[in-house]
Amino acid sequence: MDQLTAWKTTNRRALLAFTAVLSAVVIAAAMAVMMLQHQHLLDHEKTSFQIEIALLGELVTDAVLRSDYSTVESLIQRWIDNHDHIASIRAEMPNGFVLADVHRDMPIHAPIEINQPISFNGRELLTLHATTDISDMQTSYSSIILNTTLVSLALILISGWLLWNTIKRTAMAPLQAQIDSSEKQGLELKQRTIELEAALRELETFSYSVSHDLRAPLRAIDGFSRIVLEDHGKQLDDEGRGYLQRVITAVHHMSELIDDLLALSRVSRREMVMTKVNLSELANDVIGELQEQSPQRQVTVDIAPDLIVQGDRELLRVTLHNLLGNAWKYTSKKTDARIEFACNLQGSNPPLFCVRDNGVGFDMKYADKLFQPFQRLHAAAEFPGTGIGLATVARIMERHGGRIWAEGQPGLGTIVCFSLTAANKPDHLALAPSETDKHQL
Amino acid sequence: MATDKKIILLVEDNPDDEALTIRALRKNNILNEIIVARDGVEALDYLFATGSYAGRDTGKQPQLVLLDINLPKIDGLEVLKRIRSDDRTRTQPVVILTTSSEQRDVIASYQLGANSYIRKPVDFEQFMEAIRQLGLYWLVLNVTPPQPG
Repeated sequence: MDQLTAWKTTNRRALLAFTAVLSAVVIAAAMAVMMLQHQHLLDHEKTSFQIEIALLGELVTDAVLRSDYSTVESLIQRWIDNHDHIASIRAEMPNGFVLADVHRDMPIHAPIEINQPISFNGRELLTLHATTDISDMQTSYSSIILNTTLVSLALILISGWLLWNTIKRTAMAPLQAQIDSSEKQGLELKQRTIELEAALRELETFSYSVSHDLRAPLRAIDGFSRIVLEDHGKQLDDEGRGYLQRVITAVHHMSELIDDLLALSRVSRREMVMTKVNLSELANDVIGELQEQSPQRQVTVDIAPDLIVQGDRELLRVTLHNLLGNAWKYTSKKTDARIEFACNLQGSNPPLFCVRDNGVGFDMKYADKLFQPFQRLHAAAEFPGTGIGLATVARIMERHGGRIWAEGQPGLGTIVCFSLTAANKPDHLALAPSETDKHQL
Repeated sequence: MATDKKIILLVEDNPDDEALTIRALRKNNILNEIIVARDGVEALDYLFATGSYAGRDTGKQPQLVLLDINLPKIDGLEVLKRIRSDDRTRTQPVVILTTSSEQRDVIASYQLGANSYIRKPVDFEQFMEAIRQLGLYWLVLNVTPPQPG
């Protein structure tokens, strides 16, 4: 965001600098042109003045030749009287004799002085020293320069402003909109991150209190129920002892619920570490644990070798623990229990990993309930459980960006397939395998 | 064990857990004197002979401290920190006995120098078994350094 603002400012500065340089160049050029013109005007003024004085010279030539000096003086006097811009004229003969020296009483700011020799038939008669004032012309010219400069400056500024606006409309406006929207998005994202962080902290506090404060009273209920049975059991009849036993069983169930809920919450909070994971090895470990917990069970387990994926090892362990644990549990009433773990639909992209069992299965009517927390399709007395396991697995798939599906048939078995990347649900998960499928598995 | 009267300091604020722990200890023939501290302040008062335990001989420290984490006033982790930062109790065996199984509590406890971390099981039978093994290990098998002073 700050970078974008900086970028915008830089652009505006660049345009301003460009306009300023342009103005400076244009003004300098205008000034240079005007200076040249000024010089030209001065020369022109001087030449006209020389021509004018030369004309006066011609006018007095006759009188000079006649040595009628009073006429010369009066002619010069009249000439000055009739020409406001002439400040003084002095007529001097070559021998230094001054025929006339007429001055006008006027302030002189910008004098031009000329010495115009007047000749007749190649003989120099006299020299007219004349002075004129061009301050009027200079004043008007200065005001022209000033006005022109101001006007061109104004024009440059106006065109600069127009240029800026045009650029803003055509180039900057879309950019600006883009910047604004990304700034807004950034702010919204920041706000949402803050909210999410707060929610996460709350969740952590919540699971911490669940973990700690909910277990303590359960331990007391369980402990004191057992103490009553142990120390005072003889004072109770069978019914009383049976009720206490139920209290203990209920406490166990609630304890399991708390543990599973915490596991679900940990799955959501865990920072994932993506590595190469050998699902086959994990599956073998899980089956080993299950077999250890119920050594009397006879289950045919078939795990395809070297199913290697990219994922979070701990979360994938939880996944297989839940899926294989379910298969183990729901085949417990079968005499020929069979559990398979394989990459189904070999060659399909992305690969689907499936756990298939020949257990009690389920009615597809309730398939959508399977991955919701606390939803159970079997009575607790028949198959114990909290109904959180598959919800946990679904959350793990979500976190990997993958998906999970299940198909079942009552009495025939269940197949649960997951993909660690986004995939569409295949038409059939091949619950009842054909012989070739079996071979593949 | 009963004759040398080694002391167990049980730091526990929940009276139910206190009763269950004492019963579990006694049922497992652990007959040591049990001092109960119901919050962090009381535990530190006992260990450092301050407050209501002023005048107690700090040269005689418990053979084992069973320490809960969630405690009123000063929590268990802070108590553990103070035990480890005082010369009189630096080598004191401390077993965290708590309901929490949160990883951060486990990690924090060991980082602060806990000798062991036991999660109290909800199931009383498992709890009895945990206390039996804990007593056997820390009060019988484990050799502690000689008391300072």
